[in-house]
Amino acid sequence: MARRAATRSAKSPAARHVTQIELELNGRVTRASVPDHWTLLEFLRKSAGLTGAKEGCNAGECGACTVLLDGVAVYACCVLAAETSGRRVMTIEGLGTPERLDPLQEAFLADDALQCGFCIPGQILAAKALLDAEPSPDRECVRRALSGNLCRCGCYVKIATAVLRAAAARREPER
Amino acid sequence: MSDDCAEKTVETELEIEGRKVKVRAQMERQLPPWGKTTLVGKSLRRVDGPDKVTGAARYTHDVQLPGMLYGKVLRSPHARARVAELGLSAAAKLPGVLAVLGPGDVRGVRLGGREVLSAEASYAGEEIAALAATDEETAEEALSLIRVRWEPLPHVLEPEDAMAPGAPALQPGGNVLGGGFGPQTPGKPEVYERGDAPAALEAAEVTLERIYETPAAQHACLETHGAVAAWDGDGLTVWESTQGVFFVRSALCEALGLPASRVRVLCPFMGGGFGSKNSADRYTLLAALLARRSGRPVRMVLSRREDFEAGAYRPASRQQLAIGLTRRGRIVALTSRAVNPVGSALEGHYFGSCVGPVQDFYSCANVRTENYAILTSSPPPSAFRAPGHVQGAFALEQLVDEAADELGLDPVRLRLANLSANDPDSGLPYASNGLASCLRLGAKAIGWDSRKPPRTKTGRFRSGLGVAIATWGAGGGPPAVAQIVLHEDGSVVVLTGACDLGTGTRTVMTQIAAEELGVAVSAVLVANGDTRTTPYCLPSFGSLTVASTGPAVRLAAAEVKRQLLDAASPILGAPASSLLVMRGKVRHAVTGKSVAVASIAASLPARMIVGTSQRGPNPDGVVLASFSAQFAQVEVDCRFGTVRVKRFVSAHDCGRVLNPATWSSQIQGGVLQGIGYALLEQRTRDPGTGRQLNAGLLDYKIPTVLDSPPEIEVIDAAPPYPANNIGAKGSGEPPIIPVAAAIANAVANATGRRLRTAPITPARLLAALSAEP
Ligand code: FES
Ligand code: FES
Repeated sequence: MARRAATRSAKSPAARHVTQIELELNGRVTRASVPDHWTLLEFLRKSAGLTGAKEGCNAGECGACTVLLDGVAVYACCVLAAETSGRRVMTIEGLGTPERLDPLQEAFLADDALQCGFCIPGQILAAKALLDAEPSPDRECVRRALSGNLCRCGCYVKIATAVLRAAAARREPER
Repeated sequence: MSDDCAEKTVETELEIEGRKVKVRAQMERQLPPWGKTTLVGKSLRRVDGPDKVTGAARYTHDVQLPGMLYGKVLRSPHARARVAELGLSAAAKLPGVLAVLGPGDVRGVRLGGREVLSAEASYAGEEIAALAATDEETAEEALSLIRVRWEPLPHVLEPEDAMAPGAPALQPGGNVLGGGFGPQTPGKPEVYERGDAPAALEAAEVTLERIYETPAAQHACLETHGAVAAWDGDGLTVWESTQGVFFVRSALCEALGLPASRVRVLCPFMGGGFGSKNSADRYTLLAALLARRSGRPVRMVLSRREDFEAGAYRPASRQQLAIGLTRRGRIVALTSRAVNPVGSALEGHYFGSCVGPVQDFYSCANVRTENYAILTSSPPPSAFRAPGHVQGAFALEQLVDEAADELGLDPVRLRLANLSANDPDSGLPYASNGLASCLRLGAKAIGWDSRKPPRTKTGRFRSGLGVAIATWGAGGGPPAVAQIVLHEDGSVVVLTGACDLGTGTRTVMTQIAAEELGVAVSAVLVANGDTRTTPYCLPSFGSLTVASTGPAVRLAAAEVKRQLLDAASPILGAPASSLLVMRGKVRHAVTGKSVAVASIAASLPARMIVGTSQRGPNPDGVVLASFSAQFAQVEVDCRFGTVRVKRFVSAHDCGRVLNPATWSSQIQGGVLQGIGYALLEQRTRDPGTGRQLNAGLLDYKIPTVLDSPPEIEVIDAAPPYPANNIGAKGSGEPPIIPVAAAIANAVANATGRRLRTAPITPARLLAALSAEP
């Protein structure tokens, strides 16, 4: 668990207390020292160099920052980085790469379930949490599970279709 | 450029956001329409999709540079106030703060006629001071150390108050001006007139007069507005979440006195614009100024609250409409008197207009519109997806339905009977017009024939069907330049200034170039939205990108192909006219003898072929417009006053559909924003302070997936469109225009009650249900 080392930073009055954390980030054990008040989203974006989780509101209102914490979809802007020590975090970068896509990412492309793309990492991870827990959802179930992820481009119909497609692909991996 | 017509320029007209403008254009080489296509018209997957679904796409928010500072802005907490004293020194002394700017430090740096920092705030949220620090927390703390002595001034938020006698004059000419795009005369509306509407109304067999109101609605792009600025000597590089890198560049050059060659603006990915990101804003200039002062790159990204409070919005409207008809349902007169509150807009800004639909949806000889802009203590409004027409259609398309009810006529039939073969304003024919097919195909898809009158409906849940239409100038036009480079290995780069807002610009430009050149999609890379490397075009606004840049890309590809065939001719020992390009090979049409594109390019002295072309003029004597008819099926819960959109059908004529997948995504997105506008969205403010009460995504309600119908059926009802070489018109804005009216009409069909104020909230619906019909 976290070894808490409260140190005073000489550099900046705002970065006062720092905590050492050790977490499993996208499958890799990662150690870092983070300001106590930093959210997981700040840690990912500013320190870990993972910008796939987006900041749409920083207040738990949009879902653009959705990541998986021990397999559960959470708003990274509403979790303190210090709380993640000893836990598993997956961001969109840990799911697949442009060369090796996860079936969910593949399905979003196949159904064109994206426009500007800003909400999409969050949508995909919220969908992954759903499918890991419920491999055979119906459309209404998908809609409820994704209702905490806003898309201003209005991709909702195709996103639900893509998640259903991915669910089918995961149940029966082809070939 | 080898075009023999390169010298000739002509004047041509294009329509941008409902406004017709004249520009010069160079004559273009005429290309025959495509015959059978192999790529265009196919649902090619988004070429930038893999980057977007893996988090590899880098948006402006994601730009991180070594030594980058975080910029923050001090904003006015008052709706109108003078800064009597400003104390910046405590903030400047805070360790970690590297630059602080007040109005006195940036005097003369102007954007859209305004100083970039104000010593007198005209709205709550206006920028007063700015600073940059090594981290966000230090910047926030520094803001709290700025001392301001405010002298509050009387403010007005609502147009009625701004027009009342004794209201404080917000600008020297008074608070009442003409709407539209100016020039405005103080105290006078913008007037449009054809025929004699007052007399025709007087003489009409049936007349109706109604008032409709619409709210201030906000874009709420998921990526908030923002820029990152970095200097390198006297050169400036700016990443901006924008629809138009060249407009951002010219705003920066003008404000900072820099040559265009020294300013580079880039936007590789952006998280939504919808009209709110057409050019630079104050944060752009402040990022550049703070970066110059501190000698470090500066990131200036608005918080969600700032994005709402100081940001863009569709102005509200109050529209008084009248319609005159014959008993048989022929529209003979239309009038509108519209009031648009435009905040602190300055002369020359967008002044709001919602009278367009009354002028151009129907064949009607007698039309008069009066358009007022009212100044208030609010931010200036901005374009928002089909500016004006969304408000105007909410009014007109309900009025037409009310007239159908009055006359006992079917709303679809009434509309069909009053469609205009020619543009009602100019009398000129449309280059193509599929509106009647949109209505017929849409009605069939939604099951219009099963529509029952409201009196047959009882019980708590009542279902209804509604329809509404749209016309929108979406033919695009110059300026739009494209350059295509065929490299020595046969790979191709398409350079265009057009930003991809998520509409699929990169993907359809890939299709156009690959189709015309005869090479594989995988050989083509579209590089776009970078003022240093890509040629000029207008911002991605006004539904014009495909119809402006698309033809230029096809021309550039044709030019590259011409050079390629000329080079292949001696190799294959056949005239260029007998050769064609297929699957990456130049082939003789008869003998089948072929040579790879790559080996031709590599054999050239230059080792490359470059083709540059520009969008030519629009044809004279025709009007270019896209059309749409939309149908909503709603279920009203009469106990709670809620409306669910159960089904939606969206039929369009926007010419050739280049990519059905990206196209239908854009249409569905427009419908979703229309559903928000109809049922959920409105900016609300504290009248006492003028501050926004719902400046967040929890309280300013944009649709969630649960507000979306499970399916949105999209129908292509386009006849061939001959007015440009790719046969396509714009489709970005038409899908939002009729949505709110179609829903309101469906609610009326379900309940027998007219909701003439948007959004149709449960409170409004319950009030209407409890009133006498
Ligand atoms: S950024 Fe976390 S919910 Fe919006
Ligand atoms: S794709 Fe743009 S916000 Fe969802």
